[in-house]
Amino acid sequence: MEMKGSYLAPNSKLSAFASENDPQILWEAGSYESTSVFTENNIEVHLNLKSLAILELQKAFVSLVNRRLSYLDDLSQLKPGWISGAGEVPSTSVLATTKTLLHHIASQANTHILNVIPHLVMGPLPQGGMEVELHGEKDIALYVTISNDGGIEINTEYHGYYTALDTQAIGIGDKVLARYESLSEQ
Amino acid sequence: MNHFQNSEIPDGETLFRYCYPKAFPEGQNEIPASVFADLKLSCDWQKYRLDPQSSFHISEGKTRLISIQVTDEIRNPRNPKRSGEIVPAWKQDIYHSPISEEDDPAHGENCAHSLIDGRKKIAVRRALVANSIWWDIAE
Repeated sequence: MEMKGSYLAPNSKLSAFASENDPQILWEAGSYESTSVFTENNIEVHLNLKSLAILELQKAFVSLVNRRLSYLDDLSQLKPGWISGAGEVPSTSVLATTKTLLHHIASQANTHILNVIPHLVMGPLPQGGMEVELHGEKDIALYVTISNDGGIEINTEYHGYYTALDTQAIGIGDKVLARYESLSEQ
Repeated sequence: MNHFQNSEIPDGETLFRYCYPKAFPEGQNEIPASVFADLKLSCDWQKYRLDPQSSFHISEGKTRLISIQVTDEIRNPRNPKRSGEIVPAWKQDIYHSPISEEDDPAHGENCAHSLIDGRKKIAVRRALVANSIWWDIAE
């Protein structure tokens, strides 16, 4: 059954925004209406709109993450001097770590209901490295900076308050998602 | 042309930064904070580069143009944890730093070259994102 954002009940607390035609969603806890559909045998089935909408939106999010994985593959062709000034290219190791992180996020979104589906922004660092931004609602965000020198830093933003955490590549996916989930639950 | 090396660039001025469009995910409209991470952020001052398309960066394929509006928010980022006080470690010096032909024989003189100088913690980079726009220009 195909579900789209327009199927949401008008009084739903779901609030959607679109970016590059990918529905990405942020929601607040609350109650949502259910609906009924009839099967081919004319049997009425009750469906929970919230669950269906979330699953569909998470599917769209996974699709976006997969496109970002393809972008990382293409980024291995980036030439030095890609930006005014230095413009170092991300190392093979940085690209691999970033892919590990994205694979983990996609895997979680495929198998779990995420507390908040983040808005994903990415880009290389001029001094060499990659940064992944996961934005939630109302100035809540998490920045994962993976540098060519081997350093990994996770910065959290919570209504303008910034906190930094140095970490290692091992288990980065779990660390990032746990950090993001704790932010979105505050 | 006479230039005042290291003269401070006042608020309200515009700075240009150039990059390869393919450095970023296709369809991503938001400027990633990562592009502002360099300690000495290299850019051109619009005062001396009226037409950004005249830069050598364009002929090199760096056709994604980032336009940065100089503000006190970038120069003196504030920490909301401390009642909005200015954080000295986040302070940015924004100044004119023209390049001579001897400095860069490959590209020649760049009278417009300028720097945003200082450590770019995420709070600083978010201030830069908030005061910037980007778009692609024809090569």
